Amino acid sequence: MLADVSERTNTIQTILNPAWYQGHNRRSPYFEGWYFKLVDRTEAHRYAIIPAVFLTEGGEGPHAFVQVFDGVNGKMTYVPYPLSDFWAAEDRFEVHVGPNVFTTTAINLDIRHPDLTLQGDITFHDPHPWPVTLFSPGIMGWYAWIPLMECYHGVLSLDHALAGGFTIDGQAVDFGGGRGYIEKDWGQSFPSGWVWMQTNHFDAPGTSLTGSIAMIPWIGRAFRGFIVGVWHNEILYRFATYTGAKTEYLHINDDVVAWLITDRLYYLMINAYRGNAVDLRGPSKMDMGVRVPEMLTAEIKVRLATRRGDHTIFEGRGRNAGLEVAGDLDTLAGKPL
Amino acid sequence: MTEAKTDIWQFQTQLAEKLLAWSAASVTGGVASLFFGDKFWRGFGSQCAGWGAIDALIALFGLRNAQTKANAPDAHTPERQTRERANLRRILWINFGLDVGYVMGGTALALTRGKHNPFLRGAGWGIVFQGGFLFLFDLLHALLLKE
Repeated sequence: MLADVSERTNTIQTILNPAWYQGHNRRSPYFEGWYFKLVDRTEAHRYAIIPAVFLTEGGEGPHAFVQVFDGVNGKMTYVPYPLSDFWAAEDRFEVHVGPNVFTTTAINLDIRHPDLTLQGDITFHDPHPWPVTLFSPGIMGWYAWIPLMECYHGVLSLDHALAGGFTIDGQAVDFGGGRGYIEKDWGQSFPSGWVWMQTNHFDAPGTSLTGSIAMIPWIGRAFRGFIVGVWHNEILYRFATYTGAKTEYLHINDDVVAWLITDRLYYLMINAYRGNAVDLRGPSKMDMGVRVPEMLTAEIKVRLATRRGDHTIFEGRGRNAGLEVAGDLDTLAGKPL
Repeated sequence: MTEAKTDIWQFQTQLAEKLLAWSAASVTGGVASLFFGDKFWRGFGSQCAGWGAIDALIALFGLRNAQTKANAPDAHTPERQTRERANLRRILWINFGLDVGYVMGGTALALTRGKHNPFLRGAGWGIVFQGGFLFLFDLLHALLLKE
């Protein structure tokens, strides 16, 4: 009885702390991965570092890994570790994958792989997480409380400064003065189709855009759900299915993703210009076989304005943008509005 | 670590939308009770319909107010947002205090003049019901508006 109460209390605590590892007491199929985007001051080095754990009976079996994506050279390195090399704290965000350590304030990497050696420490200064409240624990809104959703999402920092550096294949890279972004996903598998985008490299510093739209399985059916945040001038503008915002259109072609979102007050126009994508590995219920075409070279044009008066709140073009356009896009883009 | 602060105008709009949804349900349920209920439920329904109508007016004013203010030249500066956040929080806490009064007044009506009058008893509990909702509504939103 006491153990049950304690387990439930822990579950509530972890939901209210989306950064923490959510997978204690979870069984296969289950995945959880954190996405650390790092861009140096010159913007000549852009990396996505993805530590994750994957519990499955199929494919390669349960294991942990660190995926390193070099966004400039388009090189992806998947570094697997035995499950026993994965450790996550129960009362804070701290994850170890082999000798690599990840927290909200720093990452320490020691990767020795035939395709990549990468060592070093980077610290994060003044991260800005998505706000968490009892009724809206993070970017998922109240959906975070719904058990058994296919995939959950969290934004741990919309923007922060970097300090420190890596030695990558023998070459020292200084990330000091660069900018970073952190998010995560967890659940059973990635959605059947989705678009995800992120950039915090606008001309006006301290501005960040993160957004995704996906087919969400829901009580035997599926709906198109989306969550977008524009953080500008220390203010977070939220547009999501759960806030009552609407997608007016979503057009996807080989060159651009054009997306118009409105709510009662504002409209948000997004044009994401696609670059060359590299396939990362994402989870299905069986294995890490989902192809995730990702790029860190996209550009995103954004305009946020009031509906009444058409007063521009923010307009800019984001560089070094992460962009994923994956899965069943016909259903995603073709779904009646 | 500094948690991002949500736009106050979106917060105010969503607050008003929730109140509007509650008022629509209250008016609908209240009018139905007035037509189909016995004396107690007519008393209860009269309060739901009346309070629902007032809530709707307040919600519509809130929506319009947010739309207008969101267009002000300084509406999207951190200073203005902080000021408006503090104002809204203060209004919610004042309302919360009034809500306590509504609940107490409704209870008193139900237990005194409503003792031998089913309509007034229903009206009293109707006030408690509406005041109770507003008590939770104002309290939760005041708490959600973090410093």
